Amino acid sequence: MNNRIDITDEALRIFYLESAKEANDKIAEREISHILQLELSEQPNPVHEKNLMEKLRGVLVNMSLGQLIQKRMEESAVSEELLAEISHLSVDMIKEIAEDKIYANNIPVVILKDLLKGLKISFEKAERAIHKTFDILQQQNLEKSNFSAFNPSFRKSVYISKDMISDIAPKTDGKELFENKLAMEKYLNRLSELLSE
Amino acid sequence: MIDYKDIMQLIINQDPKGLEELYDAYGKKFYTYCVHNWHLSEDESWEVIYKTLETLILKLSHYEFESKQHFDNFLYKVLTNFLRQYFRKNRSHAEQEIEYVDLTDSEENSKEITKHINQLSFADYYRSEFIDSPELLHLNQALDTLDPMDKDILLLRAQNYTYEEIAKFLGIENNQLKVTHHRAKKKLIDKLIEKQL
Repeated sequence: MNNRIDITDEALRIFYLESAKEANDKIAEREISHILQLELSEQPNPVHEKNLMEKLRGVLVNMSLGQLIQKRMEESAVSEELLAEISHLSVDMIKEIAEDKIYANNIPVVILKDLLKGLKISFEKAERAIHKTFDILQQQNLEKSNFSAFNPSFRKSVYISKDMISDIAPKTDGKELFENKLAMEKYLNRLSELLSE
Repeated sequence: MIDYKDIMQLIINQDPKGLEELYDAYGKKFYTYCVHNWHLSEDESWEVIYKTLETLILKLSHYEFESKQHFDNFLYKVLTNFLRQYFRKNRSHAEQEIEYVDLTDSEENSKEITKHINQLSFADYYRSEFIDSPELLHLNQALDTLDPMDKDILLLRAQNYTYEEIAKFLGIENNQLKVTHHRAKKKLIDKLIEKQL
C-alpha cells in the first residue's frame, strides 16, 4: 500500500462507500455497470479460482439446520456436551436440534445466537438452513395429518356434538402460534439483529 | 452470455455449472475491481468475491429478482458491503504508516485542505462504522454544489478508475479529463474550506 494518500480522495472514497449503502436503483445500476465494463488486466490465479469454486460448491448444497450444525461440530471437533455448555442447552436438546426434530424458533433466540457463534455459522447460512428445517418439519406434519385423514372410519355416524369438540380438538400447546412462516420470519429478524451486534 | 435467470435456475437446482457462470459473469470483474480499484490484496479480494457470491447463493431461494437490473443491484450492494469491511480493516491496520497529503498539482490549497479535512474522523471510520459524521455531511453538501459531471469524475477517480475508463463511462473526451478532474477537485476543496470557516 502506498503510505502517502491523497486526503481529498480518501474522503471521497469513504463518502462513496457510505453512499453505496443507500444507493437507489438508478445509482446502483450505473455503478455496477462500470464494474462490469472493467477489462481484465490479468488472468486471476487458477489455483485461487479452483479454491473459490470448491468453497462455493459447499455453499450450493442446501443443508438443514441439523445437518449444518452436525457438519460444523465435526469440522471444529466440538462435542455435543461442549456445545451444550456453550449454548446453555441440555445435551438432549442439542441432539434434537442436530436431528432436525424441532423448529428453530422453539429455541430461545439468544441461545441459538450463542450456539451459532460458538460454531462460527454466519446468519446467512443459518437462515437458509432454518428455512430448510422448517420445510422438512412442515412436510412431516402434513404427512402425519394426511395419514390420519385417510384412516378408515368404521363408525356409521360421524356426528359430533358441540360439547364433544373441546375433548376431540387436538392439543397443540399453542404450537400453531410459532410453527408458521410469519413467526419464523420475525424470529429470523431478531436473530439477524443479535448476530450483527 | 448466459441470462441471469438461467444462472439463478442452475444455482437453485444446485448445479455447479451455475457457479462457473456466476463467476465468469461477475466474479472476475469483481476481482479486478477489488485489486486494481481498491488495492486490496489478492487474498482479501478472493474473500470479498467469495462472501459476495456466497451471500447471493444463500439468499437466492428467498429473494425474487424481477429483472437483471434488480439482480445486479443486489450484487452491487453486497459487494460494496464486503468491500467496505475490508477497506476499513486494511486502513485500520496500516493507520500508523499512512500520511495524508494533498497530491493535486494545485499549490494554493495544498496545506489548507489537510487542515480542513479532519483526519481523526478517518481513523474513527476505520475503527467503527458511522454514518452521521459532520465531515461526510459537509462533503455531501459540497459535492452537491458542484456540476454533476464534476461530481461523477471526482467519485470515479477516487475509486482509481483510469481517465480512459472514466471518459468511456461518461461518454466524454479523454484529452482534457485530467485537467477537468484537477479543477473539479480544487472547486470541491474551496467549497469545503468555505463551509468550515
